[in-house]
Amino acid sequence: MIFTSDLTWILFLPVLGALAVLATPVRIARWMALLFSAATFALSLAIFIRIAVNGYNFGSLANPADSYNAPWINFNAGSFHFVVNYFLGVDGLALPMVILNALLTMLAIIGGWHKTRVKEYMALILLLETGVMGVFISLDLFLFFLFWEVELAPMFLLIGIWGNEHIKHTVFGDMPGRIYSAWKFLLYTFFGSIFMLAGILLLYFNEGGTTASMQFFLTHMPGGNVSFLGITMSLQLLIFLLIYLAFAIKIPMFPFHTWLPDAHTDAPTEVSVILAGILLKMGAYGLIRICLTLLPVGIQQFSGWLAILAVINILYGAGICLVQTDMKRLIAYSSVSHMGVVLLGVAAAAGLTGTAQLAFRTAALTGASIQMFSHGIITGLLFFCVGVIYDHAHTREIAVFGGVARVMPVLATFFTFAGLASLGLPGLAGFVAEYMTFTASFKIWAAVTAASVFTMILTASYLLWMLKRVFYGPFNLKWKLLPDATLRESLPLISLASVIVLVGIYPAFLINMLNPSLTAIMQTVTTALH
Amino acid sequence: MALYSYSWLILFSPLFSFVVIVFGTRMWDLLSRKSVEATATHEEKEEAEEESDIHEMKVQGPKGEDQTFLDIEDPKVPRLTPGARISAYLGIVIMALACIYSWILLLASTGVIPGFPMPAGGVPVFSYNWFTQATASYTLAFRVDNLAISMMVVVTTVSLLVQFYSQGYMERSSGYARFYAYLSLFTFSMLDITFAQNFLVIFIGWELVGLSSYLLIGFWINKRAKPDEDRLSPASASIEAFITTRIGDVGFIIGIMILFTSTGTFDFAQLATRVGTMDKALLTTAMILVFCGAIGKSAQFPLHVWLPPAMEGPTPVSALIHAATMVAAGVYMVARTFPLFAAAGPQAFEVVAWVGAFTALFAASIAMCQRDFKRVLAFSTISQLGYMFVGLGVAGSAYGPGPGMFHLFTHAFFKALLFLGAGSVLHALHHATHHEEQRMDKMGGLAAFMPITAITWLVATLSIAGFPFFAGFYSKESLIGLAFDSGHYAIWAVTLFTAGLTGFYMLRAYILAFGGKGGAWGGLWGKAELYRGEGHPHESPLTMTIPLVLLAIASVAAGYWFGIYGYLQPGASFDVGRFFADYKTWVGVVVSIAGLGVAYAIYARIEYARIHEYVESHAVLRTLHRILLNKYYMDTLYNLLIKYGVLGLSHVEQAFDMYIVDGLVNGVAQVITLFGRDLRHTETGRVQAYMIGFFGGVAVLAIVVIALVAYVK
Repeated sequence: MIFTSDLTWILFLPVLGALAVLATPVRIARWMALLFSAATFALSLAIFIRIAVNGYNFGSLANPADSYNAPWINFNAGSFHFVVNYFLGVDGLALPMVILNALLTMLAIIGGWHKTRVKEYMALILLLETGVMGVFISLDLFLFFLFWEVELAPMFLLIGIWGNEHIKHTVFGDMPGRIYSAWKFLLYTFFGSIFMLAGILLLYFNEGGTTASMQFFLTHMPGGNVSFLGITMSLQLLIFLLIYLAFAIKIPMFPFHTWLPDAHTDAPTEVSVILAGILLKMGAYGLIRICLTLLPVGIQQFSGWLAILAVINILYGAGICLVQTDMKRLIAYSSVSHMGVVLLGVAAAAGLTGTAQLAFRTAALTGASIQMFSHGIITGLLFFCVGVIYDHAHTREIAVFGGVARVMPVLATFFTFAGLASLGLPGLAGFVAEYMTFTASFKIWAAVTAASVFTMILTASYLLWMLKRVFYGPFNLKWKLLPDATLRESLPLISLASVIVLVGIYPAFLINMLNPSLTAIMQTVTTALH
Repeated sequence: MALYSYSWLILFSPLFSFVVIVFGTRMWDLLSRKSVEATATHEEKEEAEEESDIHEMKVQGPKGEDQTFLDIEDPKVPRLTPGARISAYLGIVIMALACIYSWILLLASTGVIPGFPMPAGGVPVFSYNWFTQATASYTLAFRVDNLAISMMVVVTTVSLLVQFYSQGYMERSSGYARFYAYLSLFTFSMLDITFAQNFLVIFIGWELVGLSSYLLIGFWINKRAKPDEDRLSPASASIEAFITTRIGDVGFIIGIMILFTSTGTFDFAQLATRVGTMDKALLTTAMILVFCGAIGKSAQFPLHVWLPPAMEGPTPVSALIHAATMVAAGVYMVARTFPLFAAAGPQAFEVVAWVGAFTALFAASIAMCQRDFKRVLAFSTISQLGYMFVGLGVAGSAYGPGPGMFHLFTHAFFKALLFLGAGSVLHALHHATHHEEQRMDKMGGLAAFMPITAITWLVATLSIAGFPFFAGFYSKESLIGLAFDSGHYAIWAVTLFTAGLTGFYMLRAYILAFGGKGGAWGGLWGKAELYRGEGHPHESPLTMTIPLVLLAIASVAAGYWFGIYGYLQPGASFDVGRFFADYKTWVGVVVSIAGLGVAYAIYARIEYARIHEYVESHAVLRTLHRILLNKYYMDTLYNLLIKYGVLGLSHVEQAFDMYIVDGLVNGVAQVITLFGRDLRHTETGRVQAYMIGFFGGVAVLAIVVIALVAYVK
């Protein structure tokens, strides 16, 4: 029975929660949503604790610490087989993402307590959680793709219905921002998914067409060259490019990044938290889990470009933050910059052949994986902070504030804390990730990494400058009646701030969790490339 | 051994204070504030309100609308809560214990307390591993050795005195507990640098002191800028400090990356043995880049611009962070990595020495014309830090880090004294005039009102000027002489000339504040009539004057630790006999006294207004004065660079996103929606148009994909 596996429950508890929310009256529905999201979070922690006390071996793709495999679809027509298995598993790479997803969803429920049409809102957030969870725990490529698409619908509706009415693009007449941004999000992602599907199909049929299990492709890597439109390239590179396009859009990588600032500015606060905190990580996770692990030759051939695109992401994203006038847009662009660090780490891991500089490459990949987690909690905190000030002041425009820390000391403290975490202050999560990624990537891509480090200046500039214009300096009396964050609003802030400190001062628990998985990935990569 | 290995107690004790204050006593302070304020008398309330110094400012908003801003100089509460007071006591008591322990360590390691020889290579005190794989290792490791102890003593002693002093200076501040929390955080961060065994840990401390500096400069969060006095708001000054030092940190981390990727370790001791195999040119580059970090943190040219605005923080902070300890972190870091610099090509030390020498002269020249009391001290700090780098750069392996660290050691005491004395003056003037006053034009003759502050300040002035037998005399003259002995004649000339300037600007500041024409001792000791400001200043309370007296003693005594050379580098020694017999020592003294003499002749013998008139009436002097007053227009230049260079580029990026990337995307979307336009007449036409566009696009793509898969198959 599939219900004997805790992974099934991780996956479907939110769905049950969504049903419960829809079935109960509003007063109870909120608590239902909180109950089910908390249960999911508790379950994800239980998995962590169970493995942690049993020797702290979280395993790898080949030997995940927790997995469940059952046949699902087996369609045969002559020599054509279409096999999809219900294959779930978590290892050290996936589990942090699962926990992050469960945590942020739970906090998003608390943050969105007083939304309009709250039942539908909560239900959709829970469905979104399931979709994203599926992406992180599927070990079958088709199942992965399925969940990749499932996540789209709730997100589209969340932005499209609860988003911002403000009209931003006159090219489309009087279309409200929420509609424009929801479509932009959907079309961009969908555009990428089609290529991903093509890539998966190509991989599937090329390797026999009998199973799409990721474990299978670990030992069955496509080889040889293909000629396409007069260009000859290795088959792996072609598959890599097809699949990676979807991830590149999600991460988002320059020049596919413009959906992100729009989606963020128009999405409601909690949706922004989930979008930046978790959805972007789907792309990064896919990049490591599928592109790097299953297609090492392809990604290695592209790694030079990946490194260059990474530095563009890092510096371009940071530079553009300096001239943003909307706090949310600023943080959205800062995500572009921070996700570039993940790209850089992966580019370094894939950058050489054989066992050359293996230690540095592993360190870079570890840094990138920590960055995925720490960016999730830091950006989540930043968006929650913006959400509080927006809910109270009904504007996110930086220029209209000034000295507001006088009336909002609690929020100012947390916002400053989040800003400091985001700019990579030691003792907080972002530093561990960036320091490891930069110092290790330098061995492989010296010039690119040296250029990337300049982001330290830009990040500090845009974050501290924004904080100064909003919270510090002479106090704008217009805001003298602005209330501070309430206890409910502070809950997500306190929780995320604690996790940021925990990862910052004791990163070993995360690094040791990632280690077996990443070591195995690097092992696969070095064997494939010798 | 146990004596040393327990020194992690020193490291973590301020962190403990920080945590207890932030989560405990500060919360208590905030919660009990209302009930305590209710017990305050009417007078106390009125006084608190008056001293908070709140003004309304009318400003035109971005759209031309009228906006009213509240400028709050220094918010005060009528009466401190027990929570706030306990925060301070906790910080002070813990710091006192740490200070005593570190002095014991110093006495033990120097052999004054026999039986505890420091093992070669120091004693590890604490470590924990992040990540290790084959040739790459990330470990947090702390170690104590002689160099660390010499710095630790400075950090804990000055921290203790500053915390004690702040009880008076920060009296009834509404952020009293917060202030002590920040001070404790700073001390922890600084000790982190002190105890660092590798570049990872030193970089962590490096950034954390930057944080404390940011928080403390911006301590008065709602205070305005004062453009007429060329002063930024604390909020702006704190950002400038953080970002400017981070520019240096970029060089620092690139240097660290080169070393790490070449050797696979961050550990100083391992690096020292492994850099031998590194390419010499690469190592030299790496060390110069590492030095960039010191340029930023120690405010050397061209990244010195952040330190003068940093004076917007409370004055005890200026004394602790921006004079005695944090800004000296760059010097300590170079001293710590001295073997690596020595292993690199000679260019590395040349750069260190020349940056130091140039900055010393550059900053001293600016200090001569400043009107702001604290700003003179800020430029003086920049200049003195330059001296320390000269000391490190010219010492060579025979002397080691001794000469540079010796000046760091003495400077910490007399510069802390100068700042705390300045704070005492500002505190008195704030009480007398009921507003903040830092301009020396509004001082004068203060020795008559506050004799303890004046006499201790005079001691510090003579010490920094290198007057014989004061501490600065030994540390400064010895390193100037060393520049000559090591063959750096140009650097010797520059530093010697700067010594004269130092004497000039320091005595000028002293006389402008405390003396004046017609005072006692030929103008050095002021009279009440010489005071140019309002009100009637008083000597500061004992909490403030006790640290002044203690520091005044240290400003003389610190110079007599001649063993420091050998303490830091076995085999090196400070030869006192040779020092006194050397003619260059006395050349230095003559130059310094000449500087002092000129300042005396001008400021103690001529009325202040007449000097000003004379400079203004003289074209060359006027121009020179203006250039120096405007700090060679470096700030202006940087502002232009940021406004048109950096922000200009950002605007270009913004336009690229908006018109090129999104223009393309929106264009495609418009073309697709055109196909669906026929259906617009129906009620839900728009949505259908999108749907058609959407699924049409999907269909086209699906065909492409299927063709692709089939083709490749």
